[in-house]
Amino acid sequence: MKKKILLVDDEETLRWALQNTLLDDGYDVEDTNDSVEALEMAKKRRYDLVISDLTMPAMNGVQLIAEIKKANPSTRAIIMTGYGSTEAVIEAMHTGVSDFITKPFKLEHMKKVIRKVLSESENTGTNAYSEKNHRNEEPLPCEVYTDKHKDSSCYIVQDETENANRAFYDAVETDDCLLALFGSFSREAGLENLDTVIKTVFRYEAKTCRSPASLIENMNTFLCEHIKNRFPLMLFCVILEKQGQKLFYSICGEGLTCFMFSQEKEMIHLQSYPLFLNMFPDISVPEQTLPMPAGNRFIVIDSNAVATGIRKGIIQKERLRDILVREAAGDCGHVAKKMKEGIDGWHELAADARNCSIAAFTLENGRGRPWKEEISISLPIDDYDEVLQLFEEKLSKIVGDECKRHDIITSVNEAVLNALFFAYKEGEKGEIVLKFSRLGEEIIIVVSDRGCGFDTQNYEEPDTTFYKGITKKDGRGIFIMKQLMDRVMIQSGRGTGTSVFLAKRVNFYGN
Amino acid sequence: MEIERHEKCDVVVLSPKGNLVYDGAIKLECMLKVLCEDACAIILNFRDVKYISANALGSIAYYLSCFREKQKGFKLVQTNKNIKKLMDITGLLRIVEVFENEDEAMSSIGPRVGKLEKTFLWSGGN
Repeated sequence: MKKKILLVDDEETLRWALQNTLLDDGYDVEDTNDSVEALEMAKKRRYDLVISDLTMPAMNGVQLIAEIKKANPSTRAIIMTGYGSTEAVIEAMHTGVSDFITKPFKLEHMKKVIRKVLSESENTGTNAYSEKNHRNEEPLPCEVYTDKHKDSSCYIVQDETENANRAFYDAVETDDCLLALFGSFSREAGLENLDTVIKTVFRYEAKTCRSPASLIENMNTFLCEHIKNRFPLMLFCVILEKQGQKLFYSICGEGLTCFMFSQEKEMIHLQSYPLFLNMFPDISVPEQTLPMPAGNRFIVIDSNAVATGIRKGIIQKERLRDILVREAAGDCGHVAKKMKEGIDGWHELAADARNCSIAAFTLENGRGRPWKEEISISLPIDDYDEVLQLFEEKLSKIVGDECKRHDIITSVNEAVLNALFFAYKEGEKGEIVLKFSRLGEEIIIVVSDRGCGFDTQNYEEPDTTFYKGITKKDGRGIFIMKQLMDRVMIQSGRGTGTSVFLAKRVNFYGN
Repeated sequence: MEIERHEKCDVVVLSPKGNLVYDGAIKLECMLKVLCEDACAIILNFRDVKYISANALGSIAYYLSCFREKQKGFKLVQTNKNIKKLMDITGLLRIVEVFENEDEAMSSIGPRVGKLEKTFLWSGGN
């Protein structure tokens, strides 16, 4: 049976884009721009999931979810919010929101979150998720471990047993730094999405903070002030200054054993401090500095048993080094798995070591030099072929695959034409701004009219029909963009104009 | 952006030189509108077209159906693989014939046969 989803957001274009995507995915979707109306709808019909914006005029998203849950406790909820609303997000978690997502978001990411939330509700037997149900689930066998985080630069292997900590990883790249965060906290904390909250705070702090110690201190104070429960949280934050290849790191938590392993097969044990976070605000966190030659890899072992064993000399660090040397040729996933297998085989640690997570990550793989470029197209356009030539020039230096380059230019072109036709009258002066950037292995393009030519008086709602008929004219451009790119999002507002966000995974030159 | 035009045995061949985007798309639409009334059949030669916009694809789809209604030929020639891909994802490739060169397209249109000749041919030539 189709899952019923109610979508609540006062942003028309976003609602439309999301609704169409979810309809394509086989969900039964209804939408409204009014939270009061949403509540009425939810009282009349039982929805499996409500996706709501946080900030809305009459009743905010958290209040709406709280009211809907009174009427139907089994309904799951996802809140959409912008950066800087983390306090409200934490409040939302306490009112039974299953997950939240920060705007602007990738449609693929939203789909993943929806699948996760709905599958969780199925796994609990009923839609009613409760702490009790969760605890009564049969624990997974100790031998089973799952890969929680996979990308080219990080891999985490961790146990899914009840006593195992929950580990997470995040990385941010700025113009001058690469920042990575590994964290771990007890599952007994009972906060389902705490890792997402911590990542949000981390990404927010990473915009301005260049010291791992200050970053952790700020995060700690924030969490102490906004999380009701006190439970120990361990964090390893590392910042690589790109220019000088200098590494700054701070490790809070005795249970974290961290190494930096070089291409020359040298293993450096990074010092951790017996400081637990989320216990007291305003604590002072120590920071260390190291030179960072290229090709280094970080290994984090989240296990009290291993940390104590090394401290007391029961485990020789050489045993870990042997594994790293033996498996050095493999990628992060291979190294993390082999390290886990190795530790699982140490009989003196057998009982405790199974509750451990191993992360292997690098601050280089999959993250090349940052590339950002902005192009401004002045209106009116005399020769559009020159515009296309400009796109060709920019992208031919960046994107290796000719077909993908053509797909991107075709899509960008549709976005530019969309801005031309919707935002400006014929022959009117103005500008369309294009921002090209690289995010990991993806190229991101934002095409915006910046609202400078936005014709509010004659503005008509953007086309909301998907291209269906062959001779049908409307919606074909959006349809083409969605077919050629991996993700497309359109945001439109009377004050800010229209922006089209496009993303596609490509092979960059030089990789 | 120029669109070259020449005629071969009552068939109009249009060869756009450049991209069928923005003003190019508008130019093509204007020409198709006129030819829909005047021409017996049309061939669009895309040898020199690299990019095509959604709008231009829409015009082609629309006038293709107009030509069909009037039982007139409408063929495409030498589309590059990227344009073919766009035609494929928008469904256009299902309804329009694409040929490697103009001669093949011409052969597919065939000689213009009048009603009288048709009656004559089908009656066995007596």
